[in-house]
Amino acid sequence: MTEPAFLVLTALVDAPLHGYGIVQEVGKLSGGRVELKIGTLYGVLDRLAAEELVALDREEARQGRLRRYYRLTESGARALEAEAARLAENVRSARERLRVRHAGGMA
Amino acid sequence: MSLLEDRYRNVLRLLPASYRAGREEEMVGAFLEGSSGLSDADNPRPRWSEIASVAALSLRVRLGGAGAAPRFIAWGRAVRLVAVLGLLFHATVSCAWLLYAVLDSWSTGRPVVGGEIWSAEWVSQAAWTIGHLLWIAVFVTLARGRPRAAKVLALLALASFYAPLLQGGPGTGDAVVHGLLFAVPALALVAGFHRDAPPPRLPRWAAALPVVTGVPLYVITSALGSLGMSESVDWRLWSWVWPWLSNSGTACLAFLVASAICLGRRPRVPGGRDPSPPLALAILSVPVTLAHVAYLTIDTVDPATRTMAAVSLGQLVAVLLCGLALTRVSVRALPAPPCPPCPKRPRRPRST
Repeated sequence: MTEPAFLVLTALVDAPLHGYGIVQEVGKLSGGRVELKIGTLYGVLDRLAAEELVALDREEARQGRLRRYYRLTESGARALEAEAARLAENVRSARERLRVRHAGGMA
Repeated sequence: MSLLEDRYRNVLRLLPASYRAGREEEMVGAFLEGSSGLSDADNPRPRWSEIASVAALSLRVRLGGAGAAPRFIAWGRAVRLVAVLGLLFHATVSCAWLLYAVLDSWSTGRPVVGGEIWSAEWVSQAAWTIGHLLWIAVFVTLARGRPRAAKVLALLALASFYAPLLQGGPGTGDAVVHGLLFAVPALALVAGFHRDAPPPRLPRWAAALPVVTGVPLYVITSALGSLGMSESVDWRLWSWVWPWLSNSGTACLAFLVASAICLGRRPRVPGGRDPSPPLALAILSVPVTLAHVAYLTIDTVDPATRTMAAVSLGQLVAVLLCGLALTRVSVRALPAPPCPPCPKRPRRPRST
């Protein structure tokens, strides 16, 4: 799973969001590091929708503009959970090795 | 409509009409929400990064990205096939050349890369050898299911071909055109194996294909080369054989064989022909034709060169005819273009 896809799924955990809402949420989640472009966002949404990890929740018009809200599906939540567990395991391994390295350096 | 909206809608024209029909309003809305506070007086334009993201999305959609229409999926498969076939050809030729260089070095005692270290001759031969090794590595890496690494290696291999041409000199223009034989498969690799494309599905043994095809190529060309040196062989026969042994001549031969197989195969069900193989070969007919034209010699001075020119011209005509036949077959077999009012078209939104 790519980082933008991971962040988009994470952004949708709490509530359905529309396109720009997802861009904002991904920016917050990454501390401003990942700034999704609109073309990139819709490429990611197409892929996640094709894999049935996200689904269209509803459509609204706001100030004459179309907003489509996307929600995380059950399989999307499971995929996110599995990816988060994988990343957490990687982080744990890295921390463990760094701890051993620092301990060895201090000895 | 604001100036920025108008300009962004123009950028979205990069996307296929069917995709725009389903997504344009939503994308425009999301883009403008992120660009609030700009007025026409500021002469606002979409940032290059936004334009690049739309262009990349357009390429992925047109080459069989997630949820793409059957026509775009066929195009995506064709472009990936261009990469696989073109790279297999270069890996095969490179394998044969390297085999020749190594065996020649072994029999004569001369190093594969000759000349004084860092001399122009040494650098040129080293670049030549590395270039051939890279083309083999590109195909093997792709066959082993690592398209991203293959892309990096392909760009390096392409650079090793084009870098010496930067010095200019006679024949540079022809060499640049000839380089399309290398550039087209490399660009097809970069564009076709995008992140939404299915991973390469080549069998494990495919990684050994450059050796399987390169060794017979080496044996045949070496045998023909030895025969050519022999005084017992009639030069008239040799002038019929020689035009097939150059890089562009071998490309013609490989293309004609592949085209004959493709056009000769009957679809399993009537009208059920897969459009991707003929489309891929039709695309490849362009660099094969241009590379051959670049080295076509019409100024003939004796019967031998006249025969060779006639054979080269015959090769060119055969490639062009095959290219036209393949284009016709693929156009007929391609699924219809997706209609703009596709099922994704948004329903009338309800106001909040």
